[in-house]
Amino acid sequence: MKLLNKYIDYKNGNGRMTFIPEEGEDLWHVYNLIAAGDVVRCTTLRKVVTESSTGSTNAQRVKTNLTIEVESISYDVEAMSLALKGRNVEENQYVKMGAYHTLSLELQRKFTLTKENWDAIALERVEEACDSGKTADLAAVVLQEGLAHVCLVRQSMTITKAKIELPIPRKRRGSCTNHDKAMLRFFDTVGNAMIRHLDFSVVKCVLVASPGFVKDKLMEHVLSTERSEFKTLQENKSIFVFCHSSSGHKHAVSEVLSDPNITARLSDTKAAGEVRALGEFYTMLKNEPARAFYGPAQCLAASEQEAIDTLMVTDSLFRSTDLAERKKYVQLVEDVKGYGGTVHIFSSLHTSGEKLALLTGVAALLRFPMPELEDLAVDSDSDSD
Amino acid sequence: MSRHRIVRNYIGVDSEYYEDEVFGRSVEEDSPLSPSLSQFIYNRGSVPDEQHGITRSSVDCVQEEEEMELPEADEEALNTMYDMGFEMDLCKDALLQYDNDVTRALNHVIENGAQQHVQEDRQSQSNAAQQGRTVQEDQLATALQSRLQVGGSGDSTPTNCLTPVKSTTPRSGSPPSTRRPLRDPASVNSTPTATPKAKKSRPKDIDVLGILNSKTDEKPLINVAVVGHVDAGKSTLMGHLLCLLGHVSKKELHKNKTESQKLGKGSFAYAWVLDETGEERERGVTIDVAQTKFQTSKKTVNLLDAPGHKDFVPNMISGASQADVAILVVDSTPGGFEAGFEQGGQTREHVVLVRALGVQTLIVAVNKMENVGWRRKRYDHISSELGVFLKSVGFKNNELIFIPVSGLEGENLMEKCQNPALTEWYSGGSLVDVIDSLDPPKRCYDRPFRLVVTDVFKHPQMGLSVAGKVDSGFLIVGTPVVVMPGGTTAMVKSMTTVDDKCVDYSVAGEQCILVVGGTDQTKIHNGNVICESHSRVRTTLKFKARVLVFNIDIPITKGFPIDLHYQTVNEPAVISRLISTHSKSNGQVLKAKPRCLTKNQVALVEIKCERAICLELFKDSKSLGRITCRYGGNTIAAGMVIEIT
Repeated sequence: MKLLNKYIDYKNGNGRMTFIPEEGEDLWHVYNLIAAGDVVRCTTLRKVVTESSTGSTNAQRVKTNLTIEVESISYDVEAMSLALKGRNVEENQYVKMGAYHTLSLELQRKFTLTKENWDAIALERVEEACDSGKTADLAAVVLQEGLAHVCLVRQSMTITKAKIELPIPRKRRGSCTNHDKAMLRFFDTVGNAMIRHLDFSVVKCVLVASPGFVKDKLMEHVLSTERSEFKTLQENKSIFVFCHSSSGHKHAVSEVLSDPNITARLSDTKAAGEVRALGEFYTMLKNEPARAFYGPAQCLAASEQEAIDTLMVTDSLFRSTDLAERKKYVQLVEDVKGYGGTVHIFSSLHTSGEKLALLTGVAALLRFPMPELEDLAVDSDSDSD
Repeated sequence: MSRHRIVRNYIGVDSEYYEDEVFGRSVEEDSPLSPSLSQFIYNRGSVPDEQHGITRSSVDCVQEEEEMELPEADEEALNTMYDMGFEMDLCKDALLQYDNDVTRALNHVIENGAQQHVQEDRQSQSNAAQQGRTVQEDQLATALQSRLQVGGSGDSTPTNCLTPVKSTTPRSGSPPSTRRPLRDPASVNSTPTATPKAKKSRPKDIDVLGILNSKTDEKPLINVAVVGHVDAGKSTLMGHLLCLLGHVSKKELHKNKTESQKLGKGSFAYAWVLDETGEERERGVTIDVAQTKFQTSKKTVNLLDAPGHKDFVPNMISGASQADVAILVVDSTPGGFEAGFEQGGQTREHVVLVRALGVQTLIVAVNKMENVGWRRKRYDHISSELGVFLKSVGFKNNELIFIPVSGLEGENLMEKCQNPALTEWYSGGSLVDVIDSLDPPKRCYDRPFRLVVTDVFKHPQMGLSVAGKVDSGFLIVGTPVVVMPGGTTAMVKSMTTVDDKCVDYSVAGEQCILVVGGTDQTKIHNGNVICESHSRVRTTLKFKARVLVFNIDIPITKGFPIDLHYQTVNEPAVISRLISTHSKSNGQVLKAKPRCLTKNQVALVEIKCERAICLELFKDSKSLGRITCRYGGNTIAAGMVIEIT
């Protein structure tokens, strides 16, 4: 994403920025950046109905610049599109003040975002989004007999591009043809899915992971076949990396990313960093349970004592429509940073982020044991679901 | 050749056009069929010869006879009773006797029912004696058959079996079957045809429970899973046993031997009996569970050869969850036993799993004893080390049987070992003796029918087939069934056992293959549960389970993603709530809402799945109420379903 213009009043934090989103992932950042109440200005198309003096109407689609105050935001992960709905707040020759309009932010089209308060999280997000050097496109294919996930692992999102599920008959006494045929069909389907969903001009590395020998069989099949349909894969033979996973389910992706051989190669990707941080949390929970806590109440209490060494928060908490809720977490993050702790903001689109979101969304490693927090767990762990 | 083509076309037409009809209902032959004759039998109607006409008319006669009789009894009352599962003629007699009073007639029939069984058994025994086949098997078959006949014809004496089965008697005019291997006379009857006779006598009316009660001296069925560390010799042991029992043809064995030698893996010849896929042979490991059935002198054994490799534990779970008894194979060679038994070896994990999956009796086969010269010291060392561990897992002394064997040499498998090095100190029985001595497990025949799908495939002749183990209850051919959790309905067209024998019904504990119609392959998956429409299994997204946490590296927290395994199901799920931890000894709540679960804790948790799954409470169904949780290739917990929400 390109940042064209930035004006922020550092006294009260309000100001505006102008961006050009360049790729699908940028829209994800924008989605995390924009909150209800922000003002967005962007070029858009609007159907305008004019009525002549005789009463005949004439509808026209006009291109115009509109400024709306955002009321709701919707983001489609698969299609990578972002729609902002809100009321017009600026005089316009076609659109009345207060009229509703839905802006859809598109790639390569600039927009201006005005916020009442650019907090630390938002600024960090801008920085992350505009740092183009970090992008390393990685694909992961996790599979087991009859089940495969073709995923794209990007800086801040893991997108399941294809899920393949085929029934594989078992071997039977005296005949395995059913089994073998079904396996070949399965490999063909996975191979085709890879070609269809992965752009080999961008993807730098494809991790192929499975239990047992399925991965070897798959690659052997697609790389050795004479058929022209797998030519793209054969040409990009060198970018495939084999690793081990325990299953073909989606959460096995994080297992792959935590594989020490793989992490060495991808140490700079956010996904691998997140997996590592969460791994540390679990190790601590095992070794020194009084130094690892999860849950908002526990983390806030620990932060009051300036005890947090590493804080892990999922970004879904900052997208909360409840402003007070968002502020609470922003405050927590700023506090932790203030006394020298590190903060990991997990992307809720990564498997590790999904895991953290299920683990109440916030977890912390402490500098010193605080066994008194254990008692807190009982009353604050009220489940809404 | 042209005649072959006709046959082939006919098969195609048959399965396409008669989708809704019920096929493969066989009627047992009365007189034994010579194998030379059997190959000439194929398909009713495949040749429009004269005999066919004769058959028709004879059946018509039967029909008319019956119709004429009907007015004498109150038709409605008769049908009521008929629908309740009693034989037509019995009902008729009773009704006439009691002037069409249904209640009294029913009482009469029920009372007489018991007598009838005895009679039929005696009858079937004498029949079986005539035939050169195993008594028990025939007893069941003929009892069944006489029932079929009684149900349809007006003839009340089950002795007269000849007339009604005319339509299935061999027809020399039939073209030889080229596609279907005919193994024995019994399988001749399993040709997927619906004879006019079979259509009339609806097998729905088989009194399965009655038959089960009457055939007490039948060889009990037992499901045996073979588990153990990779390369302990599970497949070789079982392959060799099958060879000794005569279940493997010399030709096949010879082929395996030469081919394995070609690959420089001569020792794998026996394992190849069970490891049949190219992948398994090439790598020399079992990947998926192999299933076969064999008979010993006292038992019918259903063998499930599980893979030992760590990556295939999910497959092993699907096999072991169907087992009543497990054989744990351990390698006795120096270093071999230790590798499997140490942390990370599969011996431990498998033992813990089979215990968690409800296996009560464990046979420990100390394998490869020839490598250690059949030394007693080694055997004792292994037994004592394993024994301590097995007891810590929860096996009691009387549930454990240790036995020294050699899979490769085939020692002490079937016959008692003659090797002086062993007989010197070992006096126990061989593996087969041990299997024979086991108590048959209790089956739930009276519970609703449940079959967990282990395999869905297209049978070249029969069409869409579903394999699985009947978990509880029984099913008769021709019954409409429901595939859960999808809820698709299907019709059971015919039913075969694992070894391709056609049957009319299947009962709890048996492995069977159902040929189904009215649905397609995309609607039935492994792990689905097949039940009857009036007693469906529960489906859920969320349930509570009491689990025992195993020896785990990282603690289990809320939101922990797991692979949920039970039976053949393998679904991603999440531990959504930790409700409480409990004391191991008395089940008292130690802590409500714990922060995390660490090793060896007993806890109540809530598990959420992504897709609906079929479960039952543990107290209702032992096998559908047990779950296993795995994470990152390790089994982290196992438990039972306490509450389905």
